[in-house]
Amino acid sequence: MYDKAGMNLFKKSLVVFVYLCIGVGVYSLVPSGASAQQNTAAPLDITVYPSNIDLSANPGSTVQQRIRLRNNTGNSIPFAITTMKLTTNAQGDIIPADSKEGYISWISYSPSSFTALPNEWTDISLQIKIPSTAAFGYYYAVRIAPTNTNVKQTSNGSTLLGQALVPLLLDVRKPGEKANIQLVSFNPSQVFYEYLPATFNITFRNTGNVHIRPQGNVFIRTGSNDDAAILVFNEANGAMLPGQKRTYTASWDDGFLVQEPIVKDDIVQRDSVGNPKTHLVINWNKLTSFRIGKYSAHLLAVYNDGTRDIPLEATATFWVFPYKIILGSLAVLILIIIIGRLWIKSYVARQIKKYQNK
Amino acid sequence: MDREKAFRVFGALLLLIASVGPFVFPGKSDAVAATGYLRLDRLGISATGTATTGGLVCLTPQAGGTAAKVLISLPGTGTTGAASFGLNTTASNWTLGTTNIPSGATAWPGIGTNPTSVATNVITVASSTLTNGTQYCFTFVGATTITNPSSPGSGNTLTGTIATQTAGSGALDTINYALAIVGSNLDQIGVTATVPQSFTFALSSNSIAFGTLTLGSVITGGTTPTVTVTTNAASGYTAWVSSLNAGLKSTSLSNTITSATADLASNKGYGMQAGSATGNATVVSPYTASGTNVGALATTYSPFMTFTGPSIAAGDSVTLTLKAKADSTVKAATDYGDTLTVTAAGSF
Repeated sequence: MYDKAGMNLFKKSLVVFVYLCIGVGVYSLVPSGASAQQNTAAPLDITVYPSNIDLSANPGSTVQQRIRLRNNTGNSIPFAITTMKLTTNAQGDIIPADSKEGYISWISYSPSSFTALPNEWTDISLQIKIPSTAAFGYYYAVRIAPTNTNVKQTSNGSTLLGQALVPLLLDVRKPGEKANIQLVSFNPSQVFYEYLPATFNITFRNTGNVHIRPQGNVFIRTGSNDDAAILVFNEANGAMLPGQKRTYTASWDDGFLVQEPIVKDDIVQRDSVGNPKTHLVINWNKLTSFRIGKYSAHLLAVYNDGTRDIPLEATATFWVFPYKIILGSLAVLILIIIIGRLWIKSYVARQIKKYQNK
Repeated sequence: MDREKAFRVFGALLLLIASVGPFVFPGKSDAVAATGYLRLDRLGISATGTATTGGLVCLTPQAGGTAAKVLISLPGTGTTGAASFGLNTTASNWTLGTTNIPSGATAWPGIGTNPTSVATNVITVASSTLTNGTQYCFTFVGATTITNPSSPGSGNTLTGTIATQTAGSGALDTINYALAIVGSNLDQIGVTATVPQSFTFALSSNSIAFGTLTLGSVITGGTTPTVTVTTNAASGYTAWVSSLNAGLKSTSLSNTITSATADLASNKGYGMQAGSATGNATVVSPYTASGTNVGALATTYSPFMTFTGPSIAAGDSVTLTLKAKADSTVKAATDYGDTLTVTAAGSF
């Protein structure tokens, strides 16, 4: 009934097949030889909140906060939390810097290092033990950086390491706190605008020993001293650190003719050097807001020095003159007048000739 | 045998009658009652005597007949009191409408713009013929229409009626409704929420290879990583870059191609450009350089990207391009490298 030879062949084939399967399985468990590994660190994508921390405390107290971190990649990433300081460069811009100053050690984290799982949040507790001798402003940047950064370049090149910072502003309340800013300059970005928006730059320097949040208004007045607009600057309540020079802006764009950025699919279109492209927008519902002539901008900024509000004032003038439209309209008008005169002249001459012939 | 036969005939007859009877002599079915309701926009007491802003009247008639008007009577006397609604008796103050009625309901026909009359505690509204079984609704709004009772009741104790009538005031459908009036503003639920300021930072890749730096040629890095910042922080964000070596350094030779802000067309050097900004991102000088110009990379942090407000929803981004040029003064080696730390933070 059964072919004995065929059966034997089948059995042998089956045995070979089984051995093959085992062999493949074992092979797959053996680690492969090291390849020319370029990079052990995956690209970074993290979310942290809050984006900055603003604290006020008494000397000798302990303050606690919480930071949340989310690893948005598909890989687990080991992180370490350390502290930098926030300082200013020669231009007065805020920059982070490594520091071994004593106040850096006041901050501790729990955990200070951990592995963030993919697409999961990790909570980090932060504690600041403020000595009784502390006073005024201390400015930190909580650094959140991956630690799997053992990247080796095999050829000429650069490695990029990403890290996120959470600025932390600490005001230790103590007598002698000095909140003081100077108005460095207030001027429009141009003296002459063809169209709105007219942008105003307000630059302060913090000469005190604590951070300050100046706020205020820019009053746009016509030649007859009527208020054409009231602008607000620093609505976001941004702070200035001691020693920092910061420029706030206010923009006047309420008018009949306004240059606006070209936006496509919610993205501002830019030119080859990255500047936003603009186009002229005619707001027909603001026909009575046709801006032309000389205007004055009056700045009234205010900051609190700890006991009262201190005003800072300045004035600047600027012009708005849509010359292209006006000159174009004038040219058309003149052309109409010339053509009209020529036609009337020609008509009169024809009529005279007609009657003369009669 | 005859008896048996008789019983069979009798049983068959009984069965026949039972089967056919209901069809020949159908019994009367129970009448379907009209249904309806009055919904007021506010059910809290009117402690200060201020009026509600309107409500909704719905009715599913069943009585048939030609409806010519609908009368809505509210609990009480028409004057605001303990268990009494106050009604504004100026009919023109009541604006009737058929928008925003429940899904599936039919606009009440023939109601006009205002009630025909408002007297005591009854609002009379015109109507056209209604179809039984169809839900009809209309709304009423107005600055001063109904004033809720001045004190809360206990449960659904305030009752009223909605009645349709013919032109001759013949009764058609009448439904009773009940209202529960609660304490001042207790018909509202306060909702609060906090949207925290958050900050997302992404770096698309972390290596840029130059390959061979041919002497005298400006070489562009093989990849252009993208830095993307997404934040709702009102003050915006800043991104900085710092360099470990302030140049491309050969560890084996301790030789460095120093970074500087320069035009590499005429100088050896190494530096960065930040470009292709999307969203609200603004590139900071000197990294706005283009062509063969580059911005210097220093050991201190230098801002290269910023904005003074929230990013767009998809995030603001710039791409980083590294360029380098070697000349005959640069010692030959294959390990010229640098480590750039790209840092970003929300502003304050």
